[in-house]
Amino acid sequence: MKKKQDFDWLVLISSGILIIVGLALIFSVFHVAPNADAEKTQNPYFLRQLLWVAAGLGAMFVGFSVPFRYFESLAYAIYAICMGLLILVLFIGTGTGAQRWIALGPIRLQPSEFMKIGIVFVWARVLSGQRGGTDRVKKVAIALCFTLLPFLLVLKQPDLGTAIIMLLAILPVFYWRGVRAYRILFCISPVVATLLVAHGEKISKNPWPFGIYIVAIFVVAYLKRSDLRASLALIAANLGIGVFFPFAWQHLKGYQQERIISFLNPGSDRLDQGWQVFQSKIAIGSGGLTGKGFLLGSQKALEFLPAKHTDFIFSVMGEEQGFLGALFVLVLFGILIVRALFLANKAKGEFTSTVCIGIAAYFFFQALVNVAMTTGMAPVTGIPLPFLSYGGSSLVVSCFCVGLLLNCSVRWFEY
Amino acid sequence: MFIVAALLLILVGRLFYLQRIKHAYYSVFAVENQLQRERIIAPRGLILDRDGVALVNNVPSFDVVLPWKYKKNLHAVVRGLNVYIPLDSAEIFARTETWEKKHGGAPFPIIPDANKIEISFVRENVDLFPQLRVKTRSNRKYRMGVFASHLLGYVAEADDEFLAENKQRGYLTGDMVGKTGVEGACEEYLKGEDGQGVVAVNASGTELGDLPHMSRSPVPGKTITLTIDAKAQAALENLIASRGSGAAVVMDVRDGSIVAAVSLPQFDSNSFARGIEKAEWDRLSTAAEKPMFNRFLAATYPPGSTLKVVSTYAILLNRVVNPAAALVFCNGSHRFGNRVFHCWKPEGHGSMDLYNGFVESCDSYFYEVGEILDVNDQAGASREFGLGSPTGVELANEARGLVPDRDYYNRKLGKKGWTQGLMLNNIIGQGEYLVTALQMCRVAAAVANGGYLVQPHVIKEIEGTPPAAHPKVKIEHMTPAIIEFLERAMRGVVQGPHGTGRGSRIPDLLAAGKTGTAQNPHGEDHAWFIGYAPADDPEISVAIVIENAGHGGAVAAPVCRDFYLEYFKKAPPESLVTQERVKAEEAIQTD
Repeated sequence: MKKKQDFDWLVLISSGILIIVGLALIFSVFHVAPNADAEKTQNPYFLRQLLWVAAGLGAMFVGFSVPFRYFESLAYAIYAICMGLLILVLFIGTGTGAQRWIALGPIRLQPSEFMKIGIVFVWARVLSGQRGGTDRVKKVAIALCFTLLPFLLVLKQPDLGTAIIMLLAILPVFYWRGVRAYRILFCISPVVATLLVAHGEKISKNPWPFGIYIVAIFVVAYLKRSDLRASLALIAANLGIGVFFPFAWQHLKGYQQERIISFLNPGSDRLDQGWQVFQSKIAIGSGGLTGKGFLLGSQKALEFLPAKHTDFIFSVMGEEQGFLGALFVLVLFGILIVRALFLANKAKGEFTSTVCIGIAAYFFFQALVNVAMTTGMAPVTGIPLPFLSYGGSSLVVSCFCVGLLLNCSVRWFEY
Repeated sequence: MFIVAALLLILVGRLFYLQRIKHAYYSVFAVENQLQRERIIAPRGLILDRDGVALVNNVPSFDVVLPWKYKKNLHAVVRGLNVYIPLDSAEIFARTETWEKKHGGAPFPIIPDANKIEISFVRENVDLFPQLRVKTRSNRKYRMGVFASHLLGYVAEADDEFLAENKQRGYLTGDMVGKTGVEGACEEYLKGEDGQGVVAVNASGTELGDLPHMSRSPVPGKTITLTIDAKAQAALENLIASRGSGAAVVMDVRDGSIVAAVSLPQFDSNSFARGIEKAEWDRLSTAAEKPMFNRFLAATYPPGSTLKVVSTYAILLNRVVNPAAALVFCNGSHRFGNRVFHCWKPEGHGSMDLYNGFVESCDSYFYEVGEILDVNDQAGASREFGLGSPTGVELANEARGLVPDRDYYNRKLGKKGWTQGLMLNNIIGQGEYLVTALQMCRVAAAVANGGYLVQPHVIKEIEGTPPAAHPKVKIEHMTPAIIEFLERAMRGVVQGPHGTGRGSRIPDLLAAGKTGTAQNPHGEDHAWFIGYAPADDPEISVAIVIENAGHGGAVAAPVCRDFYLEYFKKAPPESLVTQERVKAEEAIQTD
């Protein structure tokens, strides 16, 4: 039984606007001056994306109408299908540079996108309820194992961005399922410290990020001083990495150092990635407060923007619609994420609630990393912006997620 | 929730920074991206001869280029173009490897020196290859080919050293710059100021139109007018070339302007202008006859008896002997201590005073004087005539030659190494003396103009620059009596019945000169002749040295005569155009 008055219109409207904005941007990106040749004025990308929106609405409907208990029971099956597709990519994958897609006639599927939802279902299934037993450490370990498999497969493609998003998204899910934030911090802080030190020492030559990070660690340790042993261990671990990193680094062989550097700084491999980000910043910066107007972006039109219809579509938004347009997109994502968190809180079923958190985490981290990348704050790793980037798989999965959120909004009381 | 809000706020802050605070900064780049700026290299200045005949100018050639910002499309473009125009793709891709390093972001020439078919194909198929451009390039053209190469010099790609020294002056790697000769010496005037073309381009790189208000026209290089007489230069080159290798300089005795400057063998400056092939360069730089060596400026030769002009000045100035006294009876040799010095004429000259000793170039006479002439007095006289130091002509890499004095010998041979015996060779120009053809031409000019050392120069006028002053300096201790004696003696060499320079004599022209036969360690004697004409109202002086050609009187003097015939447009004497000419030359066995 559904309660109509609980239907979350905000989620539907904000995601609907995002989809429309995305369509408009893709239309603009592939728009050519009307005086060009007739064959060029057709906009195949826009039409194809329009079809994908139709498919996405279908997926949204499925997500909305199927009760959560079915998803819960099918979680492992869905996960298995997605894994099968990911393994298939290894063998018959296509794509220039990275093997990410499976060609099905005229359409290309990106299994790593579908894996996002498969993995969220598995997380929710493993971590919620009493079925897996009450041993939380064991549950966390199982969830991590389920994450590690697709993580490695995606990393192999290689698709560093999507792989990292998977790891990031699991953290809020753990927190939601009762793992204490302090413990999570304890686990990830050495990793973060290593990355910050290595990046600061070897690539950016900027010690400030690590310095600020260490100060933050001290603050957290002080706040948690009741658990003195853990606090001291936290400080010791992080400081230790900072102090001993140079010694450890010297013990690495030359090629090992190079591999680590190119992993941390993918731009160094390809000469023109610094250029790409610079062009993206030019597009956004030259947009100013109100932008250059729909269809009028010069950076976009001049093909200076790399991957402007996929990973860098936010730059087109920033250029044509300016600060206000970019802010508008961020606000819509903010509404979506906040509503998802609200629904997670409201939902009675642990599985439902956990799925909502997973979805919120995905939207949040993808938007965050993508926008940070296009504005030059994060390395270029290749992450699509949900709803806006061209690409069917991402759009269908995002719409399916919206369907799940809407589903939750009307069935929040179901277990 | 708090973390979500905080991180999203950071993004908003970043957007605000980019779009509000740095908006103007990035807008500049956004506009710049729609423009294509292209450096327009200024046409290089012309080089004219004294009468305004263009010796060096520029001719256009066309390259099909791809602006370097489209380098990612290079392979696709070359493959596409190859369908219509046969291209050597491998060669093109090989050139791209080093392009950025050598030429920065300059447009890459896919088809250098494109022909008419290729140019019109690219122009007519803009829709197929919107990113391609046809770029006009100006090539240096040496209109007379193998002509005055050492004087004019050549242009070639600037080397790293040059670029480092001229950073501020807008040179880029790959620019053609003057290397030697006038091209090198006048680089700053010839270069001009590069301009900039600005073109609006659309999405695919198709040109939409020029933006003249943002463009800047290049300022062409200045025209250089030389003092060279192209006809005289060509005539002298032909004359020397028919005798072998060597150098010759013709100078206006009144102001030092150089009428002709020959160095043979030479090269075709045009072969450098388009980028010389390595094989050609190797051939030029390693050939035994050294075609890249400037023989009128950088080559030093022993002066032989032409130095007797200077020696005679030293003798008269220092009153070493009574010039009128018949000091020596030449029997073909001269004994000094236990050594015997030979006169060039084995049968001897008989009774000799200074005048006859000079005119007949009697070595025995000068050996006798050499026993008492101080080495430093001769060195001083030589320096007064400008030997031992560069003349200061505008061209680079001028040799200074060598004037040995007592200090020099003591340094070379150890303390007290100097002995008077060395003077016997020095005084006839066979010791350590080394001179350039240019220096000796000035020596002849100094006698011709009444004892003034002129400033040799090849540049008559640089467009837009006030003419340079070329002051002549009086030879410090020259007296009217000495100059009169030298003039009379040099006339005697050519006009006198026993003069060694009779071979340069032509009717209706009073000429003066001095022959020389320079023994040298490299083989046959070098044939020297220095002189001037007309002797009664001197206009030009000439110095000719022909390498390993034998006697100056027999080889060099007739070359000078033929040059006079060309230069003064005197009809050659009947006797000389016939077979007798050859016999006459053979008959003159002189020094």
